[in-house]
Amino acid sequence: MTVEHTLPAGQRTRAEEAPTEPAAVRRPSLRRRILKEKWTYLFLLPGVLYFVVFHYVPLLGNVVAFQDFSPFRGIFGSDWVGLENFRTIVRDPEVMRALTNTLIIAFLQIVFAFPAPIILALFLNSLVSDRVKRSIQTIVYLPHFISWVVVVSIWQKILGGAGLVSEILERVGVEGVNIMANPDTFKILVTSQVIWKDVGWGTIIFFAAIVAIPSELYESAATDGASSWRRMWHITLPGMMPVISMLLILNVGTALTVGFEQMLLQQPAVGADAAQVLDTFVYFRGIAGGDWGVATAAGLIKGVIATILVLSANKIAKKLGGEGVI
Amino acid sequence: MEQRRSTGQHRPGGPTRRQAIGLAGTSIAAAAVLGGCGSSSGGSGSGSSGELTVPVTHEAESVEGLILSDVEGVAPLYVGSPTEYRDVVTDKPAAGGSISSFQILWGAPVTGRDKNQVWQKLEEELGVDSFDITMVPDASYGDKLATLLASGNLPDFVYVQPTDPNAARALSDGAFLELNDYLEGEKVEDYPNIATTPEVTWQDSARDGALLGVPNPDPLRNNLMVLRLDAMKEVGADAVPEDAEDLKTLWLELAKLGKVGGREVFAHGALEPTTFEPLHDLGQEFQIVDGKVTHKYLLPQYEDHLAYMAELWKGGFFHPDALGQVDPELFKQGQQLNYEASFAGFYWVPDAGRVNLCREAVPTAEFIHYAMPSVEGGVGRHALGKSYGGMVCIPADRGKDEDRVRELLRICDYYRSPFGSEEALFLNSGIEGRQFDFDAEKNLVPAENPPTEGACTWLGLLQNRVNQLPDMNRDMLDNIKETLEAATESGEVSLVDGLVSEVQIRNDSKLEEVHKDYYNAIVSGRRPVSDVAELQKAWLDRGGQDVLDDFQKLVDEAS
Repeated sequence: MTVEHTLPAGQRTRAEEAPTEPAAVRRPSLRRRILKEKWTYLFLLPGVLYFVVFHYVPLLGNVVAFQDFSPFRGIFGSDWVGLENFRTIVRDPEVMRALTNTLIIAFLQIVFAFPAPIILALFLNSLVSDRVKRSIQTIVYLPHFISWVVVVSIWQKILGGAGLVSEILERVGVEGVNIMANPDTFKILVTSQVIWKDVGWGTIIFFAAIVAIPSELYESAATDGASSWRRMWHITLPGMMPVISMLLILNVGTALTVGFEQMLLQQPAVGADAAQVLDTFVYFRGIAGGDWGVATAAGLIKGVIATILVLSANKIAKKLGGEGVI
Repeated sequence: MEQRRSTGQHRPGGPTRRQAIGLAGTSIAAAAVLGGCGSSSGGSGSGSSGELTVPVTHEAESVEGLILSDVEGVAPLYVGSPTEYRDVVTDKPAAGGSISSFQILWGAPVTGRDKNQVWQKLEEELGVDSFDITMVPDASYGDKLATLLASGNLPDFVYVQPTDPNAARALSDGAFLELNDYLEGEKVEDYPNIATTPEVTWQDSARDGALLGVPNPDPLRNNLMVLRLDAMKEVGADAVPEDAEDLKTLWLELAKLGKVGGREVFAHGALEPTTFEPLHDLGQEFQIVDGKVTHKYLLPQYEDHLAYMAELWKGGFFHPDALGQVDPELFKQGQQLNYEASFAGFYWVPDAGRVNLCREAVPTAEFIHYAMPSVEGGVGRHALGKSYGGMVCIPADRGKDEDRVRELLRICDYYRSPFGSEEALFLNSGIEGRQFDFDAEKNLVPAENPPTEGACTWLGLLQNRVNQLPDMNRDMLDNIKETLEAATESGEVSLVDGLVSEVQIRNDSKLEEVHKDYYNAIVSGRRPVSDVAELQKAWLDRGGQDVLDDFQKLVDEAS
C-alpha cells in the first residue's frame, strides 16, 4: 500500500529548499571541534592519561620476555635471548601443572563463585523487611575487606588440624581431621573461601541491575496473577541479563588470576601438586628466583590466553543474543 | 669490572679451621682445592695485578668480663652490661652534606626523621646534615632491591644479602664499587673498627678476589635448641638423651602431655627441615664426597631421616597445622615444649627474649638447651653458617670521587664500633632515658613503651658479635656455652661457600619448593617414605643436576 504524503500549504519540501548549486560543505577543523567539545575532552584527559601511563606504556616492558634480564643493567643493557625463555617454560613440567590447576580452579570459580552473588542478590531482593535486608548486606559485605592472610587464619582456626571442627570431631572419636591440609579437597576449599569472602561484595552490581528494572513490569505481572517465582524468572532475571553477561565476559578474562595470596599462603600445607597456579609460578621464578625473563614470558602467555578467552566469551555472548562488551 | 684472583695457596685458617672443626664425609684434598679459592695475606695486593691481599685483622679491645670460647666460630658471651663505655670514634666521620642508604627494617616502622630523636642523633654522630634512610621489611627485601636496582639510582649504602638472586646478579653485573684499593692489606687500618673484621670473613665475602662491600661478621653457629625441663620432669626425664632414638622416645612422650603449666601445649611447632637434619648427620647443603659435589638430599641416610621424621609426625610430635601456618610465638606463650631460635631470639634484652617471656606466661617453666644428637651417637653434624651475614656495598659510580668513598668508609667504620663502646651502645640500644636506662648495678634496662625510633640505626654493619646474656638468665650461662660449643665443634662449614654458582642462586627457590613439596608429603604420610627416590629424581631433573654440574665445574676450575 502506498501512502501519499501531502504537505500543508505554504510548506516546501527539502528538495525545494536545497540550493540549485551544491555548495562545498566544510567540516569544522579538528582544532575547532576540540575547542567546541573542550570540556568533554578535559574530563576525558585524566582517564586517558591514567591508561596510557599505567597500562599501555608498561606493556613495552614485556620485551623482558626475550631477554636474560638483569634489573641493574636494565632493558637496554640486558642480553637478548630470543625465544629461549619460552622454550624454558615449555620444557618445565611445573608450568603444565600450574596451568592445569589454574584452569580447574578458574572453572570452579566461574561455575560456583560467579553465580553465588546473583543468587544472594535475588534472595535479598525478595526480602520484604528493609531492616533485615540491610543487616544481611552489611554482614556479607564485611569479609571482602579482610586481607587473605586473616581469611586463611580464620579458616584455619575453624577447619585446621587444631581447629574447632577437628576438636569437635575428636570428641566424638574421629581423629586427625585437617581439611586445610587435604590436597584432594583443596580446590573446593579455595572456591568456598572465595565465595565466603566476596559473595556480598559481588551483590552490589547485581542489586544496581535489579533496581534499574521498571517497577511497572512487576505491577503488571502481579495484576495478571504472576507468582513471585514467576516474576523473578520472567522479569528480574531477564532484566539482569545484560549485566550478568558483561560481568561473565570480564570474569572469563581474569579467570587465570585465581588468587595469588590465597594460594601462596596455603601451598605449603597441601603441596604444589594441588596449589601451584600460574601466579605462584611467576612469583617463585621471577621474584624469588630472580628469573625475570622466564616470569615475564609466563605472564605474556597468560595474557594471550586471557585475551583469547575474552574474545571467545564475547563471541558466544553475541551468538546467544546478548550484546557482548566489544 | 676487573676480575681478581687470589695468589695464595690456601686461605689462612681455611682448611686448618675446617679440619679443626671436623669435616666428616668430605675429603681433605677437596678442602685444599677449595682453600685455593681464597687468598693469602701474603699476596701482592696490587690492584692492577688482579690479586687480592686480605685486609689485616686487629683484635678489638677486650671488655672486662668477656667470656671467650676456645672453639673457633663461637661468639664471646657477656653477662649483664659493661659498667663503662668508651668512645672509639673521636672525629666525626663526615663533614656535612647528605648520605643515603637502603637497609632492612626489623620490627615496626620507625617514626619519621623530623620527630625521631635517634635518627637526628645518628646524623649528628656521623657529621652529616641529612641521612636519607630507606627501610624495607625483610620479607620484601628481594623485590624492593630489584626495583631499586632497576631505577638506576642507588643510595650511598646498599645492604646486600649475596644469597638473594637479584643481589647476586647485581654483584656480578658490577653495580658496586670494588674496595680493594681502599681496604686491602694494611690500608684497612685507616678504619680501625673495620679492621677488626676476621680474615675468614673477608675471604668468604670476596668475589673473584674483589672486595665488593664491608661484610658483617657472624658466628658460625648461633642457634640453640631448647626443651622445657618442667615438661620433661613430668614424663620422668631430667636430662636430654644423648642418643637420637632415645630423644625420639622423649619427644613422643612429651607429645602426649596435652597440658603443662596450666596451658595447652604442643611438643613442637612448625615443621622446619633444617632443625632436625643433624639427627642423621646431613650436614651442609652441598658437599664434596670422593671429589664429587653432591647434595644432602642425595645422601644414603636421607631416607632414614625421612622415616624418623614421619614417625615423629605420626606420634603427634608436631602441631597439627605444622605444614601450614603455626603461630610462631607458641613457645613464648608457654605452649611449645621443643623449640629452636637464635641466641638473640632467646635472650635479647630481658623483656623481649623468648625465654623470659615464656617464664612470664608460665612461672613454673624451666629450660634446658641441647645440641641435637646423632643416630650414630654423639652430637649430630650441624651445618655451620657463613662467617658473615650480608654486607654493605657502595655503588660503583661513587668511585669517581675517592674522598667521598673514604668518607663513606669512615661512616661504615663508625657502624662497626665494638662492643663496650658508646657508639655501639647507641646503635644497638638507642638513647639513654628514651629507649633504655641503667639500674643501680649499671645493667641496661629497656624503657617501658619506648618510642619506635631505634631501628633506623641498623645499616647492616654491626660490631663483631657478642652474645649478651641478661643478668637474670645468668643460671643458663654454662648450658648455653656448652651447647653452642658442642654444635659448632661437631659442625662443618660449607666447602663450596667460596664459590659463586649463579645457576644455584637462580634455581635455589625452585629447588627448595620441589623439596619442600615432597618432604611435607612424605613426613605427613601423604606419600610413602619410599618416594624419597622420586624426590631425588625430581630435584635433579628440575635443575638440581645443573647446579651440581656447575659447582663441579667451579671446583675443577679452582683446582
